[in-house]
Amino acid sequence: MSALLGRMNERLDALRDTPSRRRLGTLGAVVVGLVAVWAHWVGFVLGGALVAHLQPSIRRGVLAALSFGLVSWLSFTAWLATTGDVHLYLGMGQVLGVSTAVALVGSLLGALARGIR
Amino acid sequence: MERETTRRAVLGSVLALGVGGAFATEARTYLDRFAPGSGQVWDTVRDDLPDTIESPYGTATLSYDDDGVPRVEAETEQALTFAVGYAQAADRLFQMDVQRRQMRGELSEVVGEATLASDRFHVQMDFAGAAEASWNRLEDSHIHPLLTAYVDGINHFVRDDRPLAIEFDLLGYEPDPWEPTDVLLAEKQIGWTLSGRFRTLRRATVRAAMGDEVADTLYPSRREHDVGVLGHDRLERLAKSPGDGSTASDTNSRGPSGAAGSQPPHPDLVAWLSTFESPKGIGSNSWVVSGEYTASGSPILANDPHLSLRAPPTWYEMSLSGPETTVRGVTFPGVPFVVIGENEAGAWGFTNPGTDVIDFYEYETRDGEYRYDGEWRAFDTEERTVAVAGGEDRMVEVRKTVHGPVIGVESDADDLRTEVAIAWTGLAATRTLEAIVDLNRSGGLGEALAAVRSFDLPPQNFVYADRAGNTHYRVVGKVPIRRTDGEQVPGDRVFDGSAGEGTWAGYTPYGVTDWEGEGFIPFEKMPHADQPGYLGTANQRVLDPASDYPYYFERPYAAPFRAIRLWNRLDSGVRGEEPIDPDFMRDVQTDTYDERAARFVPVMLEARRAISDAGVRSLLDDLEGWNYRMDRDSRAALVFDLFMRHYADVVFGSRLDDALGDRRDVTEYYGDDWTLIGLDPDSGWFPDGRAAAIADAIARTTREIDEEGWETYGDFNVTAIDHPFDRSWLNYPRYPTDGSVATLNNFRKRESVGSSWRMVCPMDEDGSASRGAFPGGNDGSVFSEHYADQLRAWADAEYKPIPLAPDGDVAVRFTEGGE
Repeated sequence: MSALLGRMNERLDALRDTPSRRRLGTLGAVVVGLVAVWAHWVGFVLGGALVAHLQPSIRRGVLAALSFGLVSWLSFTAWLATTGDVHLYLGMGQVLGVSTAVALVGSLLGALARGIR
Repeated sequence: MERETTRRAVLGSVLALGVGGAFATEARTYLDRFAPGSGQVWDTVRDDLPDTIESPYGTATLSYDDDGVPRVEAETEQALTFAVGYAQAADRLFQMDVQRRQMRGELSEVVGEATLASDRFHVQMDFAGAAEASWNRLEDSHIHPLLTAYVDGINHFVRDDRPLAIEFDLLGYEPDPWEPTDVLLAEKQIGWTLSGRFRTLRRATVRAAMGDEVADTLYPSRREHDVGVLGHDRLERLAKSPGDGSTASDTNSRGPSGAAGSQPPHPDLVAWLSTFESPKGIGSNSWVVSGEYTASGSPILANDPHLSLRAPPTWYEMSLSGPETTVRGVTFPGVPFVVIGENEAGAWGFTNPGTDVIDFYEYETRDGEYRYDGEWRAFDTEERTVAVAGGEDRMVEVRKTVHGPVIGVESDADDLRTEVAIAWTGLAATRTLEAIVDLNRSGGLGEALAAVRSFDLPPQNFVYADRAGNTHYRVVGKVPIRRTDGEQVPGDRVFDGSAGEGTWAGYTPYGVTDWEGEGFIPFEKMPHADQPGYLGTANQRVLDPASDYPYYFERPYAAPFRAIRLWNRLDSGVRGEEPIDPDFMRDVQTDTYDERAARFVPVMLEARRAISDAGVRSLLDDLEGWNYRMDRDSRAALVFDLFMRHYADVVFGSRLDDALGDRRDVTEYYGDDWTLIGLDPDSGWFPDGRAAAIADAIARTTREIDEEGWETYGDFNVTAIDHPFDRSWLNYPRYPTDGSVATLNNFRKRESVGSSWRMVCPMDEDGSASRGAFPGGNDGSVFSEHYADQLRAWADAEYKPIPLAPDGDVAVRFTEGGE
């Protein structure tokens, strides 16, 4: 088991150390995270954790997770734009605030996973 | 190393606690509701209905026109109402649920303590019991299976795991399954809105505090005018100049009878009950012109009910086609039949008369008993629980007498009446829905009249025209004949129930009442006009003053300004000054001429001499040369509208304040504008003279305009039509509009009341020439393109075609199957 974890960590380190692979991995993590957030709010935590994990430092992990939250929120807003509801959404006051906070705080919470290892 | 381990442990713990806490605490409900993407509040964004739905009642199709108006076609009548139930649930389920919760007294269960007073009133009134009695009475009726299918249609939506409206998510609850009695509750709600009034109690209060003269001024038993619905002598009027409102007395509306009870009502009782009356300004216009006077030679009918304007609207528009039904028009969400509309044979409309169908009783009481008919009887008493979201449940005692429910407030040892029993026709088993179904299916005047025989509640001016050229007017609804010691008495006072005053023979609250018996005015004796050449209703007095109508029937309900204007416009058309065609009818319906202004602006200008302030005088100068139209771009309309409110405060407010004290909201006791502008300048209402009162009111108007920065009427008079949650994003957009409380184009911004549906139906076509206007949108979902899509056209007095069979792609096919 520890051998398996060790190999995973080695691969993760290799991913983090190679910018092109890191970017590709991050992109994949964002896609997985975006799919997850449409299924359940825990997707923000998951997406934030995934993108943070791929970053070479905790600080960059936190920034990446926050960016993921922002991208998630923007993708949601873009979807509302396609339905003609974005203006309504931006005027929804507390609902806008809570939903935005969910995206950002959830992703930041996920970023904590970057510090566990 | 140890520090690293600690750091990881801390971060891991925070992450675990964060996620675990989100799942395990109240935070989860917010996450479940509002998370972008997966949150429940987004469920109804782009929510398409399923292509097919199984119906146990047969096949049907549901399509929507460009305005989101559903068109339901079905192979059986039950399949029709099943599909209607599904469609209404899809579009208006939250509104329907709130209405039934309100009537059942169950709002606090989802809203919290804020609605406890409402729940207490509705539980004490036991509207639910009355609805159940009505449902039981329909057991053998042909509409019984229709209502059953309708309820099944709603429940199919509720149980089909369809996304619920955002309001359910915001309040955090799901609707219970629908019951047939809920449909009857909708009937009760409409009835109460249109006929539940506590004028008698307010009159008793004023009479006790200020005497008969003031009470008669504020609550007159008659109105002097010649624009009643009946008795409008057109030949005589045609000889007069337009606008001549010469007077005639109302012989039916007898003066106040006898002593008005022993005690004035407690302020808290009146204040509490007044909350549950319909808003001021509720009214309507309708008129019909026969082919004798129209350009086409066929009748034309027009109707615009003035009900609460809200988001989503009071009405739900729909078009139905079944084996026995082809109809289009509007209904109340929660009712599967068209209430106001048109079918293949004819068209009909309703307006409110001032018909009095509610009475109040007081008793001698002792421990748990009241005296009636010479003996002591126990109150019929029951304890009911009102659940409260976020609070403790409350117990409400429901007490009833032979007359009906006893409604009261806690006594504070005042020598004031703290409770009354209420008799109201709607508390008995009523058959109005049966009448509406039959009206939808009627094949002409004869069948329409047969249908409205069972229109028990509320009393309404029924105006009808058909394609065979018939026109008809009749007051429908059951009107009690009050008797004391066998003699008829008017219902303008609180009766001594212990002495047997004001009895309605055959009336059984929460049970089967003998509507055809001696306790109610017979259908044949109800005021009517068969084949009128032209006739207009605008909530004015119904009865012809010259007639000797044998029953107590009505009290003044609305000031007759609209009626004067309506008759004047119709008279001018009949005189041939304007061709009477659909354009003329729509022009009348959106007419903004304010009779109040025509009568009182000259008085205001006369009073200008008494005003020394140049700024205040200049506001009156704005009224010079005004055409008295309440148009959005008019400065004079702004000045006049604001002035009238301040003038009422100046004239009524100060005197009522002195007499009634600070425990009452004296604005509830104001006389209406007809009374206000007709007051004798030398009366006690003007201690410093009328000119001084006008000067005071115009000074207040000047200050208000300066503070608000309004320039024209349209700056103030905007479509302030709000959602019950009063969130800006749920409220309708604000558009400038025209009209006032006294104009035919009816709009009362402060109370958010106005033309809740406009309809003009020429009878020379197959319905294709009919036009309508709707103040909002037909879909109650804020994410729908049809949430408010018709509002601007309504505000601009524009109309849309309302054909019997609108075009639209099929959205849902109902296939035979299921249970």
